[in-house]
Amino acid sequence: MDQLTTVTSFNGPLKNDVQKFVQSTLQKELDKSTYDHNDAQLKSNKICDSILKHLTTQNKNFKFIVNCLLMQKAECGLNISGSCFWDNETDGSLTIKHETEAIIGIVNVFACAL
Amino acid sequence: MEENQNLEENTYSQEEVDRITQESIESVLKEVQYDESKVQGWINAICEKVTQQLIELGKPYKYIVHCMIMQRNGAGAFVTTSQWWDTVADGQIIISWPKDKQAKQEQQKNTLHCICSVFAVSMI
Repeated sequence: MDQLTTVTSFNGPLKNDVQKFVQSTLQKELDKSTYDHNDAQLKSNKICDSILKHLTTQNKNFKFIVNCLLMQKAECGLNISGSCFWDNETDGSLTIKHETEAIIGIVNVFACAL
Repeated sequence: MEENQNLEENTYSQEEVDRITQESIESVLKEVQYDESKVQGWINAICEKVTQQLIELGKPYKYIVHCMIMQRNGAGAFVTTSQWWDTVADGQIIISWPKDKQAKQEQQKNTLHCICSVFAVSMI
């Protein structure tokens, strides 16, 4: 765990650690709940904040951006794309999707090295 | 005078990025209906156009352009972002297209919705 605080590249053990944390956060928040328009704002804020808090306590060598999309499961098409202009060796991104019966949650994490 | 010039060269302009993103989305999505086979192409075109123009600004920034196109079907969706960065030097723009007023004026049956976020992270 200590090793992760000093890494300078996002691609590697830090990415795996972040992936596990994001997956467990999404599972915890979204499983066994239905899409409620009033609640969804709070829920997505909570997911973003808890992921960001975990990231910043893990490693201070990066600037982080966490993006969360919560969508009601319906018969509609959805396309998402990202384009990044950065240093490929040190910077990186992660996209995690979690689907339940009623909600689809997609989280993007972008990390830019300082 | 020199100090002011340096500051201008090294900080990014919110209005400029806003304009670039709006124009790129308009040029790709004007008067189109949601088409599953074409959406991938549109979304890549928007991302590339925006990134290209941002790089041309020549500021010392790293850019992340994130674009989402959703078919308008009545389903609800929420997008939130949190950042851990330098609040003075770094910034973001989130554009939701089309704006409702625009849709009413053009009397177009809007079948899609586009949300484009641009994040600028300072390198200095």
